[in-house]
Amino acid sequence: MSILAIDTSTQVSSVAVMNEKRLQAEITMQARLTHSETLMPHIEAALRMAAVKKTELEGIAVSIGPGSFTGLRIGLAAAKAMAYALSLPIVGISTLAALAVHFPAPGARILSLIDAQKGNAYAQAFHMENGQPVPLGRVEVLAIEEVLARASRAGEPVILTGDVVPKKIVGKLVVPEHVILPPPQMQMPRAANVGLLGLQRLARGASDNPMALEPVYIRRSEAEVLWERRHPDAPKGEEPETKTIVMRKSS
Amino acid sequence: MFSCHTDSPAETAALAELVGKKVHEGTVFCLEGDLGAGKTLFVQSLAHTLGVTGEVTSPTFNLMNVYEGICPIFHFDLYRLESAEELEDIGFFEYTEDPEGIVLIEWADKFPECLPENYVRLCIEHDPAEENGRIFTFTSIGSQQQKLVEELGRLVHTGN
Repeated sequence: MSILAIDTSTQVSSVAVMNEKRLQAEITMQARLTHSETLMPHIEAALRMAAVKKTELEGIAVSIGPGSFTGLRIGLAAAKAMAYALSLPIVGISTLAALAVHFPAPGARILSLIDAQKGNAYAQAFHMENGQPVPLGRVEVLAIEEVLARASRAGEPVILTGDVVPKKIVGKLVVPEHVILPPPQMQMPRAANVGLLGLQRLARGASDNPMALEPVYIRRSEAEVLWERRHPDAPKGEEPETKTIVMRKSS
Repeated sequence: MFSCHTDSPAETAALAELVGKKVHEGTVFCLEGDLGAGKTLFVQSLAHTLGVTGEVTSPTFNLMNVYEGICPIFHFDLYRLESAEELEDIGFFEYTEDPEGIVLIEWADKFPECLPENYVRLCIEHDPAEENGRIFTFTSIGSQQQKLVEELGRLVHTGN
């Protein structure tokens, strides 16, 4: 069963056509064009390269964030519209979980980090068990220094991935030896990873409602923002524990 | 920081042209000034200097316009927005934090705490003495734009 997989959660645009046995075609690129310009041409190209007609697809998997609000909405709009028009099941896949799929290494912690601006990252840690990303905690919005401080304290190797790595860490911050910075192609989200997790969910008969599927928007909690306003000179790390509000807006 | 004075829309356009020739990619301008002060006129001239051939209008309703010049130009108007959440919704921080191209923000003063660390603040005031006169004040906020503002200050006062 061939599916279409889409990831537009960062500046990387990635589209894949794949089945359980084979990645038939994938376009993963990072250029200055915006997703609204590149996504549909990429979907057409990937289908053509895979020699799969859109009417032959059996499902759509789309990265739902956290990530760029505008990028996610473009990907989701395309995925939902296609799912509706072609009557296909659609599954929303966590961007952070899909990143962890790059590293099916036992004994390592994978820390997925997506840019949340203002020096913050959307962060979640995983262990890969039997090819499955198992989250070690909830998604949090954390200052990048705090993220690295926690990674330094981990008693196992930590692999960092996500767009925070090239944007804010490589060549800018020092990481301890057990914290690993992978090569650029494994810092980037890939639709093939989204598709892999999507195929697993679809095989279980699970799917999401194309009318209701929304990106995962995580805003720094009200409490944290207000606390910082009242204590502008407090050193970082003294704030109360970040409360994460996961908002799924109802359409 | 420096101030200069223009007598007419044509002079404002000339000022914007000067700025356009010196500005580099990755610069954010925050424009402050009342209705009719000339924020959009300034942006139009700046955009044309940067090679934009299409229409440049105030994005009061669109919230953000993107123009293709020698680099992408992102033109925001925050007039209609009421909360910081709305800024997040339009991806404002993604454009202003690590700017690609040039970012111009009208009514930036509505959300002072949401502005990036480095930008050029441009205040435009009506000249009380002259109906068509305007006073432009350029200030570098953060250290990154200091050199640009100083250079502009020198050019403006040797030229005009």
